[in-house]
Amino acid sequence: MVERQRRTLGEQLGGDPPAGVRALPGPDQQALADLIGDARRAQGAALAKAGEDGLKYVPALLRGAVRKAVGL
Amino acid sequence: MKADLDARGEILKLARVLGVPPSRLDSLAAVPVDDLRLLRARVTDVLFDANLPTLRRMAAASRLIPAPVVAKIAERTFGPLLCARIAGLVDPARGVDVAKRLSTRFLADVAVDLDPRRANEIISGIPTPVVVSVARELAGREDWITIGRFVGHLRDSAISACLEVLGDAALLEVAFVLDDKARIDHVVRLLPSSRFGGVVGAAADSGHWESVFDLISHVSPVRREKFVAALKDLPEDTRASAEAAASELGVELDLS
Repeated sequence: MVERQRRTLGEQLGGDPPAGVRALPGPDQQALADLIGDARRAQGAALAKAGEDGLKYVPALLRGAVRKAVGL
Repeated sequence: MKADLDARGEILKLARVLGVPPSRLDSLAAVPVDDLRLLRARVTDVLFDANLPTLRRMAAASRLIPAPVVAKIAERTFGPLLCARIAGLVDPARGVDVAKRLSTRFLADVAVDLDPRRANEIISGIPTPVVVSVARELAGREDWITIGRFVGHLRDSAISACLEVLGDAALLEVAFVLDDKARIDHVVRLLPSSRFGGVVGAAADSGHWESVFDLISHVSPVRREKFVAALKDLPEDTRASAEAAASELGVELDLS
């Protein structure tokens, strides 16, 4: 199993964190970065599932067009 | 003390954005509130932008589906978090049409996760009775933070209608955690003067004097005088309690 590379807080935020956050100990900053990463991954997974599940409620005639528009 | 309370509110809001219990963010307790506010805005942007291409395609696809079906999919499949992410990407008129078909409870759940900055047009287009129902639902949950995040994005008529269903104590709670404190004076301007005494009385009942002092510190001199007059009308022992709290909090207050 390949371990996922942990991204730093600056990488998660796309730039330097605010000064008061930068002043936190390294492990606390990394814990915050991990929480942001977890939230991003959870959101991506929820989106993928919702896209598939949502199709069940789309009228059959429209399903192909919607599938194409969403990119499923 | 005020800075501590503001920081706690910010940490609670950030915890919501990240979907974690506030205790996971205990390490942020010493961070200045302005930096916490900045951090929350940055994290919100990161998460809202994280799946933007997919969210945009979903928003585009929703145009192909009748609004009642979109509402059904929203509640049964997407859930509040994804709806909150997509809301800012759909055509506002379409978004309002769908929102009107959602249950109050679900709309309140969406409101918790929504970034009002990104869905301003939809928020301002939602009919007042729907806004009031959601405000009532959120007040029932004592979710003052969410109500406070929306105040800056509602039409005055909707704010006035919400003020009618929010009690005096609730009003104090919302004002205390309002995202945009500069809006307080505007909101209080929409509040009938007859309620000023009730607002002050609510602070007296709860002993949460800092909330009313905070409110007073953000209103115009004219309205400040009205609140001070309401404080002066309190029974003597309650007035003494207000003055003692003001002294402890470093607030200048003369009720003699």
